[in-house]
Amino acid sequence: MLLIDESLCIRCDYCEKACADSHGGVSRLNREAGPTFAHVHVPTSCRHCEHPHCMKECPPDAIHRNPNGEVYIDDTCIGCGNCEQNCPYGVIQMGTETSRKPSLWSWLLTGLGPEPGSELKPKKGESDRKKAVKCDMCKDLPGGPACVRACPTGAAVRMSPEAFFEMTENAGRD
Amino acid sequence: MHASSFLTHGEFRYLKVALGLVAAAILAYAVHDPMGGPAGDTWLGYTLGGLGAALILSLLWYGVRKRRFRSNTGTVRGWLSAHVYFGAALVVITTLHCAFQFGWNVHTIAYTLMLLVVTSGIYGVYAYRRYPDLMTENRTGIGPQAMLDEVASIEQQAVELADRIDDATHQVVLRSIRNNRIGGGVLTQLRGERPRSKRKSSAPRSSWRKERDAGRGSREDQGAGGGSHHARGVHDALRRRPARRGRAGTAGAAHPPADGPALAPPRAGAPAQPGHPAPRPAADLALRARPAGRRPARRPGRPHLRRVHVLVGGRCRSSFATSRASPSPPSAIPTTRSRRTRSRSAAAAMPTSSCRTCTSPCTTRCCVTCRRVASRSRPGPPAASRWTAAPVATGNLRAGDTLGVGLSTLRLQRADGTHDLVLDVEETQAQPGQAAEAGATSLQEAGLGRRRWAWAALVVVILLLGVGVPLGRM
Repeated sequence: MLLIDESLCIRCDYCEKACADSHGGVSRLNREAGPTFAHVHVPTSCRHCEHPHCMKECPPDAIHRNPNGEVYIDDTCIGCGNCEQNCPYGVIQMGTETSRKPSLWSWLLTGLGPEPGSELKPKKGESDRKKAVKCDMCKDLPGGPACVRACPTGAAVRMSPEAFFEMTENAGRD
Repeated sequence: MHASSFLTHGEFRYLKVALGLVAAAILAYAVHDPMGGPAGDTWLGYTLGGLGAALILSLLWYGVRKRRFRSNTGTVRGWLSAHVYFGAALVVITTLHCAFQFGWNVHTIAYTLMLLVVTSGIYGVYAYRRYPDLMTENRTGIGPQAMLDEVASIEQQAVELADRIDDATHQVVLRSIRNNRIGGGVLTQLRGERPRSKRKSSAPRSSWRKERDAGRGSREDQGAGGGSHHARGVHDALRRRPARRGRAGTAGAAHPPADGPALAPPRAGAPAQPGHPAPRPAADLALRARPAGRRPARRPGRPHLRRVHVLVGGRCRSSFATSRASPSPPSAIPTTRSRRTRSRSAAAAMPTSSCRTCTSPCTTRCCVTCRRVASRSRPGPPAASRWTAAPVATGNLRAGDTLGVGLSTLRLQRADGTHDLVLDVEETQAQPGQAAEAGATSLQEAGLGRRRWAWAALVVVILLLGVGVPLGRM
């Protein structure tokens, strides 16, 4: 699960931008939303549950779990929205991904075009049909989760649930 | 959680590299003894200059790398760590490169500008390490939009309460709400001040104070109960609002109703005004907050209330949202009856048939007030998400019952004659994560109002451009 150390987080939202840039212009996490426990913020991002409710009632059976534990949605999603309604954490959303790639140099030097990492609309000719999107732990990216790699201060970390519970117990004792 | 900071990244890897570069540069400068003395045009001077230029390019490239989200060239945290330590080492290397030859020339101007940039970076390191904690304490777990929603809710509550008093009070409250300015321009943000109202008061502030004092006396002379409680609620709601605006990072001084009638909190247990029904017992609850010794809040005596859970007989009967912090004890708890009214329809607070400000139908959106009411009348998210739809079982409350309010436990005690019920607050054991919520601070306290450094840097840059550039052309 994704955790943010609020004593380090400078609220730059680069985690969200990296997520959007890596997943077709649709960010799959909401940094600001979510509970906070003792300076540890749990943003609205997929928890990759042990018994995922999102897998229920998926007509094309598009939601699977990787051997490493990541729950992901494959390309056969038909956009019915059942998983969005079944998710107890509200971390699944319906979005339209695009193949557009904002130019960094164009934006950096001239200010033209969208900023890298911004939410994008599909190009002309692209399908605007919404599909379910959720965090897949960037399982297809070689460097690991983009949100963690993009954090400039090291506030965003990925942690196993066991380690998280152990940490909260230690914090409670302190 | 002990996440690795950018300063300690890789066990101070880039600090060690930077210190090595600095040590090597100092050693070479000390050993090197060219003809004519050390200068920038010796082989060591060119070497140090090339090294400094390479460092500057690497520092510039950090802005590119952190926006290349798919790049695997190191981590952004590592780049930031190198950015910090190499930027600090740059001061020593460029100083040795120029061999301390300063003067009124373009080289010294470039050197000074570089020092300014490095100084701004040092301040950036301080800001990166200092402000996250302060922002966490300031926001108390909610975002800016939620804070603005809270301001709107308090304003709505003030209008609802003012509706029960009289038209004059209603006008005063509306005028105060319209004077509620949030945000401001760049200069206002730089100064960290609260924006001034566009509408200038037709009467000075002192006259309003006189009227307020006079009104307080006259109200105390009147009979018991009734609308006086509403007036106190309006006053409390309007007093809470500036604190929200400050924490929202915006602005806003308390704009007293300058030309309106007196609006002062009446004495507790003040007599009722003729024509106003006596309030229900739920509206007559008074909260006596007793600050506890271990309260983590910075402002003792200001309980942090978000949602009141009514636990009668050990079972949660219901809950209702309330203010995040009361201005000063004792303060009135918002009546559950008015809360239920809002949950049914936000437009019920003001009749939609006519506008008291411009005496025209509000549906035409002819003025700010009409637009405000119309915007609040739009169907928003389900009211049950924030406001309980079920009636609050306050009628079941008896002396000795216990209410759980955030970090506090409220026990109902027997009335002392002026109230139907009295709440006594005691602190409970804070849960992990709730301690941060208790630290209600303002952005002003968080340091965002300290803009003097920005102004000082601006003045220095202007002086450099105004004095240094003409000198460089000489």
